[in-house]
Amino acid sequence: MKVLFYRYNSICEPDLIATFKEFGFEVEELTLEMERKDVYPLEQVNAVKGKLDMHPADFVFSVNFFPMLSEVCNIYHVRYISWIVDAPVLELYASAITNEWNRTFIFDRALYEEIAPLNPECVFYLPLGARIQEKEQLFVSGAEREYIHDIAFVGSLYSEKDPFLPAIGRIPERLRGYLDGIMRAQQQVYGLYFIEDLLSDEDVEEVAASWPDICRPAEDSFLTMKRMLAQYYIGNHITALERKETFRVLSEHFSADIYTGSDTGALPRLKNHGRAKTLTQMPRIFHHSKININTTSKGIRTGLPLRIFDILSCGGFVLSNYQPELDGLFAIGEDMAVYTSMEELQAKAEYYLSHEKERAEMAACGYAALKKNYTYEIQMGKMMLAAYEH
Amino acid sequence: MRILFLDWGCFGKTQAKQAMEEMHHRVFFFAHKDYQEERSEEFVSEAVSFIRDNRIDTCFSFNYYPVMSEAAHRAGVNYISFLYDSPYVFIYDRNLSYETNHVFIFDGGLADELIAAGHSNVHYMLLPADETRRGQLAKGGHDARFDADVSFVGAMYNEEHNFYDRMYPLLPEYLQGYVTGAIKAQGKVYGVSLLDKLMTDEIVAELRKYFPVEADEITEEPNSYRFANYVLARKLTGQERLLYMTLIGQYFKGTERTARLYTLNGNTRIENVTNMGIATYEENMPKVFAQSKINLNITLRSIRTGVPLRCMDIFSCGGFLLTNYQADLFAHFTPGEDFDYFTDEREFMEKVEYYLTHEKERMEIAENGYRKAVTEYSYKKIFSIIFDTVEQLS
Repeated sequence: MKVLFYRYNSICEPDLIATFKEFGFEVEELTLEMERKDVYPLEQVNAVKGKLDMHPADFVFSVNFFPMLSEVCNIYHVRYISWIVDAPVLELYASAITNEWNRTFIFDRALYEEIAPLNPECVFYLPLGARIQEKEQLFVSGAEREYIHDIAFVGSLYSEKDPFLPAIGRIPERLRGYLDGIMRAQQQVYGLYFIEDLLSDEDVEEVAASWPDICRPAEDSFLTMKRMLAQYYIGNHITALERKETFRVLSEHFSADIYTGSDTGALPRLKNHGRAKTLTQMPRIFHHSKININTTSKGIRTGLPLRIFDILSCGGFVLSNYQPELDGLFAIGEDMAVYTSMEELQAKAEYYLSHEKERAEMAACGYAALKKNYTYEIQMGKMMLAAYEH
Repeated sequence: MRILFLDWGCFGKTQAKQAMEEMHHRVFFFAHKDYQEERSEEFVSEAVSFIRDNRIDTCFSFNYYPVMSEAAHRAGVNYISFLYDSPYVFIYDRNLSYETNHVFIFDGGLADELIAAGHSNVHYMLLPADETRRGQLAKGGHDARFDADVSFVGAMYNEEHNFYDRMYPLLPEYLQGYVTGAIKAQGKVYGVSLLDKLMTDEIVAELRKYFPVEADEITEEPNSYRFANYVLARKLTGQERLLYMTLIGQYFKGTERTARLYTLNGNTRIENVTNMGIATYEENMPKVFAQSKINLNITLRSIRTGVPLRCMDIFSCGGFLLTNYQADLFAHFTPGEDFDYFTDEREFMEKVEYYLTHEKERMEIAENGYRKAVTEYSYKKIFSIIFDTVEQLS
């Protein structure tokens, strides 16, 4: 099989490419967007067409969904396989989602249930995975001091990507109070995202009227203003609030280290190491730290983020917020530890820092579960089968 | 034991006394006008004399009273209290930590909070079922006035003087929005008190500027407690009870089916639902529970996970219970076998329809619930667990 792999620098791309190659596939990469982010649409389309004309591919692949790729594939009659690894992905609501050459795999069940009715034959549910091969050899050198942390986190605090911040000063008082009430409530609840339900059409109109800069969904898109406000704007805003609170609690009570591009000035006790290199540093951090925190972005309503699979694949111990799909995919309390409130986060961090044996056993269990069920080889095998079933 | 039983207008007084006597304890009722005061030297000295004169070794009351706690502590005897109300500010009284106290609380969520705060003398305990109720009911015969398809007994929290409706117009717009949002969000979630968490110190300080609900200085009640539980939780409960009864009324429209509401406020009018006024606890309420095909429990939102007394009373009367999700129920009873529950409006309507059309199943479930309640959780069973717990700790 020949794959045209459209790249844009998602952190899982190298591992997916390596797995395709192990399947014996020939992988042709289109790297235009990796080199510069300001590629204009026609240039993209021409680049894809150029590649397909030069190196005819059996299917085109991308991480997340690009409507442009879908449209081109629809013209060329080749399958466009995409794996959604993040949420929200607003492109999923583009009219291109209905194209018959799409094979769209979604890791989050709530998102899958929302998108699948738009193209029932071509949208699939597929949890994420991880690759273990290369990682094992990373750890043979033994303990590396600089990566041994009590509590570590690799990821953004969302402070720099909070799209809702500019709106807050503009929204009328009563609605601002209402939104603060429901957002603060949502911050306390894991496993149920109720913001969309609690926004009336009038609320949405009021926000839009008071904030002319808000993005509006395209005419032919399946995205509604309410959905965009709830999932993208407010979801990311709550994630920013939640992460700040999570790392305030952790850094005030424990020694906590973060690898992030975000500004951590508001959290003076949190040790910021800057961004971690995905292939070389991140696995070592996950492997050596006593506790790896996973706090899931609010846009992921039920599913498990890539970070959980990445940590487990490095033999790391995970302390994660509760997500509904944890129940079916892993054994809570055996493969990883889970918290449902800030109080529980603090109590479990304290417990597992002082219970090394249990921590090691859990990490080993989690690693075994991942190896048995969720390697990229297994997950992408399922993906290829489903993609070629019809 | 020789038990001082604090005599106030509590539910279950005769049943508790009888159970204690059957367990060969002697019960001495003690009543005093100051029992509800936070501090009363008069109560305490009279109670201490009563304890000495009657050689009392244990004091007991339903709910917890600081003056009783003080008296027992001073006399050096145990004070067992059994909470069936929530919210209940006295539970945050400083005297609660006296080593003479043994506090049994029907709401696991509240008990857990107090235990986590270091109150090792606090325990969770399910409220008892009255094993004598059904026998009494049979003697009374059938009273057609109380026949119904669906009934609900309880307050609607819509009195004119209710806190929320008094407060709301006084608030600036931001706070009006905030409290509305807080209630809406809590409405989506059971088992976790979002309202307490949403009443942050800053919000409470703001609210107090416009509506002074102050915490008591001699208690350790959380700053959030009164606004969360007396103001907002009641409003939400009222909205939910109204919503579910309105849904029933709409659903029964144009049918022979009957829905009844037993509530204090005669001004509550819901289409196709008959407001029957108040149902007296001892006299009429058991008949309602026994003669309604479906008895609803829509829990007061300040009760976090606990099984309200209403549920135990429905079981005691052999009634069929359809309830909102309350976590503690699942520790004692099995859904679909002893009772059933709903988590949203759709599920509520589906289950009402199902059980009205599946009479055999409904009656079996009611019978199972009754059996389990009166055999495993009778007054005698519950009080022997309580007394054993205290004995082991003393």
